[in-house]
This record gives sequence, structure tokens and C-alpha cells, in this order.
Amino acid sequence: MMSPEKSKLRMSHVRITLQGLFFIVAVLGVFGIAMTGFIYPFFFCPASPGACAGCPIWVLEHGVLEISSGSVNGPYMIFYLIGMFLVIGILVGRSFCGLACPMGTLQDIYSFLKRKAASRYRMGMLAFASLLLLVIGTAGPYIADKTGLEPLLYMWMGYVGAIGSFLLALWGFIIVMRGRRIWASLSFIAASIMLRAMVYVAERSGIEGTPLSSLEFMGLLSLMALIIGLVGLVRFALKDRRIQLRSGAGADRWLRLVKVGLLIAVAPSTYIFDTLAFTDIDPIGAITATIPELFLNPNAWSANQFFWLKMVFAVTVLALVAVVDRGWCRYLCPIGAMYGPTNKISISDIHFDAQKCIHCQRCISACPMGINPKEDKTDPECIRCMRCIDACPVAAQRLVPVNATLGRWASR
Amino acid sequence: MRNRDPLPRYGSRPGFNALVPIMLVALMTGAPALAVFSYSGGYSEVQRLATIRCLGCLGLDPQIPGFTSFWTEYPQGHIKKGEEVPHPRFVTQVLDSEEVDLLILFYWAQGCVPCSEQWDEMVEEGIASGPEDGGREGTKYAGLRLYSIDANEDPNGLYPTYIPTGRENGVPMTTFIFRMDDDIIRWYSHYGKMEVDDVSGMMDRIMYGHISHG
Repeated sequence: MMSPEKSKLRMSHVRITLQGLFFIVAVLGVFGIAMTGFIYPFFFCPASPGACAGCPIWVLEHGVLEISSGSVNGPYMIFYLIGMFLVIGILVGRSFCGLACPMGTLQDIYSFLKRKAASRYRMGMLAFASLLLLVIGTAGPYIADKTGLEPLLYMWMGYVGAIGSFLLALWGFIIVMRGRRIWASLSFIAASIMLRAMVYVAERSGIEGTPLSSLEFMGLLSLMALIIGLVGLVRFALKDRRIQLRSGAGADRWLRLVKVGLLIAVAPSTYIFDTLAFTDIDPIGAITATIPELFLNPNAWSANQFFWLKMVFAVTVLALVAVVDRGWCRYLCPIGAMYGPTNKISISDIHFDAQKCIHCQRCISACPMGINPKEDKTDPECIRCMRCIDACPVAAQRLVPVNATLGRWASR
Repeated sequence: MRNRDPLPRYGSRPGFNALVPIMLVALMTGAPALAVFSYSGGYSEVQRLATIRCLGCLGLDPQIPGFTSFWTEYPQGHIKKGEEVPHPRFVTQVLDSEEVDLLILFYWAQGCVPCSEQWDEMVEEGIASGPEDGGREGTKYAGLRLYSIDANEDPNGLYPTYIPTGRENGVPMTTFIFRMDDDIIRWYSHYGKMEVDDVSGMMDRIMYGHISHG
């Protein structure tokens, strides 16, 4: 029999390996793979550098637009999307959220670093690592461009730089959220103003070809600093009061319905506004496509009318994720809302053995979605990340091929 | 002693198991739907739409260096810089017509906000007429031929020929093509939204004004 310790190692390794593999699959375009007609089973923008498939919400919006224009392809696209979701959902439920989605991976990195960055030394290491990634992401494409390197080779640099900026934002959020540090918050606001000033200096000195001379890139950093500062000020103003987002409590419960509302709103808003209404302001598009693109070709772009709105949403989502584990999956992801109900019937499931349970509550503490894994393994909120399996000291939880609810229903 | 979980029950609401039979039906329909609708057009339609990069998704417009001159071959910065442009037969046929002084190709894509904005402005100005899908020239300029082309469809393969860098693909893109007395075809492509005053200015320059020979 496999010991719980062995099981722990195996599950976390499985998750991390799958997350890495799915990210590589999502950006196969960087290896020269042409755009396919597949649909990502998670949130990932088809405009990302190296993207090779369509985003589910983007496909839904295009399907609605085609239907409204009388094209026969609209229903085909929508039924193709629904068919894909049903098949994936029925096979593995919401597992793609926990094991594959690149946005989920970013949230897991945030949660991991948030836990680990407990000392000043580790905070310093986090700042150093993010700045190093920023420098690599900034200088890489510039050097490659000047030396004539193959574009496919340096396309990764966009993601390296983007991850550096996300980690830098996390570092800022941790600083302002730990304790009531008014000076830290004010410093970030001052930094935001200084970054804006640097844009003008860069513009006047005629620096070209690096993100430092890109109004959009510097504006993004400035916006990040501003939102970090504002989050810190809110934290300061709340004094010792805490925002109640305890799992299952009123606010948490209602906020979880926001993602369902967003999913329901996608099709009507696309039809009414006759455009890709959600995609135009989608924060995940900004995180997975716009920010990496700003690193790759900083001076090739200028902001359109949606840019700053997208960026405000994107940085706000980063703030949410920095404060609440898997905050995007819990409250806002319409694709998670689409997968959620399929947990009830998915063929694979996580089985809980009540006889073995010693009520240590470790599975509850480990759950990034803030649910009680012992209550209902088919909860629509469960993302099947298998952390509860890892956390259980007596192996009361395990992955099973057949859903318990389905099994019970079939045996009636 | 009974251990109580510190968290209230969430999720598994009573009666939610009623979804089971519904989901079983979904199982029967999901796989055939995926197979049938991806094969019958869903897959190819997603591929078609995703091939042209959605600049709206990026929230960015391409930054174009200011116009300096019209091109006769592929310009500086193009991956085929200096090479001859293989003008499609469709273009040469249009330019051969005596009634046509200038051909404008306006490329757009479904759901592209800057595309529809530029189209509406051109219609208002009298440069274009009709809906964006299949739209044609307006009445303001005699000698103008304008085609509004869905970049994802583009049956004559015009779009890849006239991308100003040969690398990125995005919309809107406005291409001006004309012939002078020396019979050489000159052209210029603007990638990203073009203000209607700039479109008019370019047209005046080509049809009535002085032209810089690139």
C-alpha cells in the first residue's frame, strides 16, 4: 500500500507537471505551429504570442456574432464549444481549472510565494527575482532584435518579462497588506507618479526600441504601483477590521455567483453591442496577451480605447489573487462557471472515506477554493487540484475513476 | 466528542442531484455534438477567425511610421524588402479599367471595433457605402473603386500580399493601389485604424495632388 507521504509527492508533482505541459501546449505557436481550429479548454487569449487555438469565451462571442449576422457557422461554433465542454466536463469535471489553466498556474505561483515570503530576506529574494525576470524580459527581445535572432526563439521573453511584472506586483501587494504601512502605500503612489514622469523624459530623450520608451509599458507599471498604493490605503483605512471573505460566509457565497452572472451575460452583451463585448475588456487577455506583447514589441503598439480599462481590470484581478487564493477562479471565471456543474457527474472523482477521517481539518486548510472537501466531492467549486489528497495524513481522500454520486444514482 | 468543521456547508445543495439525469443526457449528446459540429464547420471556422490576430483582444493598435512615399516593391521593414510585389490578377484587372484611378482595399474582421468605427466614418464622409460586409465605394470620388473585405475570407488572397511588414496579421488595414502614367503599380498599406481625414488626404494626394515616387 502506498504511504500518504509517497502519495503527497506524487499528486503535487502530477499537478505541477501538468500545469507546465499545458502552458507549453497553449503556446505551441512559439515553435512554429500554425493556428489550429481547436478551442482551449481554459482561459487563454488567442492573440497571445504563440497562441495556437481559440479561447472558449471568444468562440462563444464569435458564434453569437455569426448567428446575429445570419451565418450558418455560428451555431456550428457554439455546438462545437458546448460539445467540447460536455465531453471534458463529463470525463474530468473541473479538473482543467486545477491542473491545466495557465491563469490557475499563475494563481498557484502567487499563493505559493505569498506563503513562502515570510521573512525580509525572502521578500528581498522575491523582489530580486522579479527584477531579474523583468530585465531578461526587457533586454531579451531588444538584443534578439538587434542581433537578428529568430523571432520564435525570443518570443518566450515576452512571458518571462510578464511573469517578472506579475511577481513585482505580488511583492508590492504583500508589502502593503502586511500590517498597516501607510508609508509603504504612499511610496507606491509616489513611485507611480515618478514612473509617469519617466515616460515623458524617455519620450523627450528619444529612447526607442525598449519598453522604457513605451508609454503603454511604463503606464502599466505606473498603474500597478498606483493600485498597490490604493490597496494599501484601503488596508490602512480599515484599521484592524478585516473584509469578511471567509469561505461559505455571506460575502464569499454571493461573490461566487458573479462568475455565473458573467457567463450568462456574455452572449446577450455580444448580441446587444454587436462586438466581442467581454473580450474587449477581458483582464485575462491583458495578462496572457497584452502584457507579454508589450515586452516583445514595446514600441510597435499604441493603446486603443480599451487598453487602460483592460489594464485596470487586469491589475485589479492580480490584487484579488494576491489577497484571496484562486480569487479569479472563485469569483470571476466564467469558464469555471461553465465547468462547475459537470463535477456532479464527471466520471473521475475524488473519493472521501469518512471511516478513515480523523477530522484534522488539513484538507480544508489546503483547499485553495475555500470549500470543505469532506462535505461534497462533487461541489461545483471543486477544481480537482488534488491538494486535499496531498494534505490528508491518513489517505482518506483518493482519486477514483467513477463519480460516487453517479454510482449511487446508478445503483438505485 | 463530535468534531465540527469550522466552515459552514457550501455547495452540495439538496436537490442538486437532479442534475444527474440531465448530465447523463449531456453525455449522450456531448460527444456526438463535438464530433459532428467540429467536422461540419466549427473547427474550420474557429481556425479561420483565429488566424487573423484580434487586436481588440490585445487592446492595442499597431504604431505605424508616418507616410513618406508610395511603394512599388516591398518596403523597408518588410520581410521581403526590395522584392517585387506579386499583385493578384484581381487587382491588375481592376486597375486596367479606364474608369478606375484608385483602388482601396479595406480589410476588417468580425467583432473588430476599430474596423467598424473606420468603416462608419468612411461611409459618413462619402468615401464608402453600404454595410461593412461587402461594402463598396461611395459617391464622393469619381474614379475610386473600393472593396471591403473580410480578412478571414479574402477569396483573392489580397490580404497577405499587402501586409506592410509581411509579419503581423491584424485588422483594420487599408491599402491604396493605383497606377501612374508610367504604368507601374504603386501602393501603400496602413495597418491599424486610419482616421478618415488621413484617408481623404491620401486620396486627394493620389487623385489630384503631387505624388512622391517611392
